Amino acid sequence: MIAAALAAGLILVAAFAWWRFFYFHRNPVRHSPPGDEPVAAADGRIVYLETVAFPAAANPYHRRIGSTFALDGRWSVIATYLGIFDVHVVRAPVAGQVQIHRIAPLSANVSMGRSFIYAGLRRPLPAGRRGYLDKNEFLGIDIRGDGRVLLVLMADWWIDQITPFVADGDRVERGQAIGKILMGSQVDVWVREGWIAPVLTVGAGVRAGETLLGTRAGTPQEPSSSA
Amino acid sequence: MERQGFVVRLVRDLVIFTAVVVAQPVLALARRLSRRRGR
Repeated sequence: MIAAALAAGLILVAAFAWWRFFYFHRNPVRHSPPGDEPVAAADGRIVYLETVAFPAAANPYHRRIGSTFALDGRWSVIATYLGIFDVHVVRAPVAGQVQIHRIAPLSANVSMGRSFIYAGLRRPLPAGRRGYLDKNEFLGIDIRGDGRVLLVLMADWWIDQITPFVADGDRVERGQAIGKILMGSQVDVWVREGWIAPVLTVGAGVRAGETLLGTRAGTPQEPSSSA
Repeated sequence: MERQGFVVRLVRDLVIFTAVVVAQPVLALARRLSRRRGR
């Protein structure tokens, strides 16, 4: 009995070490599908899809993002939860020029444990279970190319770092690795409503740089550069 | 966010890893039951 418990413990520790020091840090080659339609920014599962209207947005998270990126009009949000076994390298959904925004936490980071459960159940994360949106640390990446796509990389309570691989003014290609989250988190992709016709549903699994977020249905959004 | 010490992070990650590994089959079972109930 003791020998079996010891063996199980050893297997667990060995599996943990393999995950913690090797598997988690993998950055597999990704091949974006042809075309210019936006691809997923992160690996994981879609936990909610929503539309936000500015300047009327009453939600503190939406107001925070709205003021950071100076948003107006209606925007669609596609939220992907990254589990601990997902690749944590974030990729550019579209080609364009990037601008980085560090968004400071409003208090100590809180847990996204409920996101893990809802993602595991393939159910939409209710608005009332998203308390971390109002508090946690974010990294905002504004990509302006043919259209404007915003990424919000979020930190869970136990996150050590959100590291961008790009700097202000850099030009990125569609599907290019642009940052990494250590470890377990959420990435929201914001696009102007109507710019794409969404093809994903809540609970769908996505792969950064490969899964199409939607088909280009609308007109171009804004000027290609903020300058 | 301020980084914690290496050992603290390692222990914390081990706890989270164990919890996630244990939770996976529970969530899979919950999904299966939910699908069966939905039929």
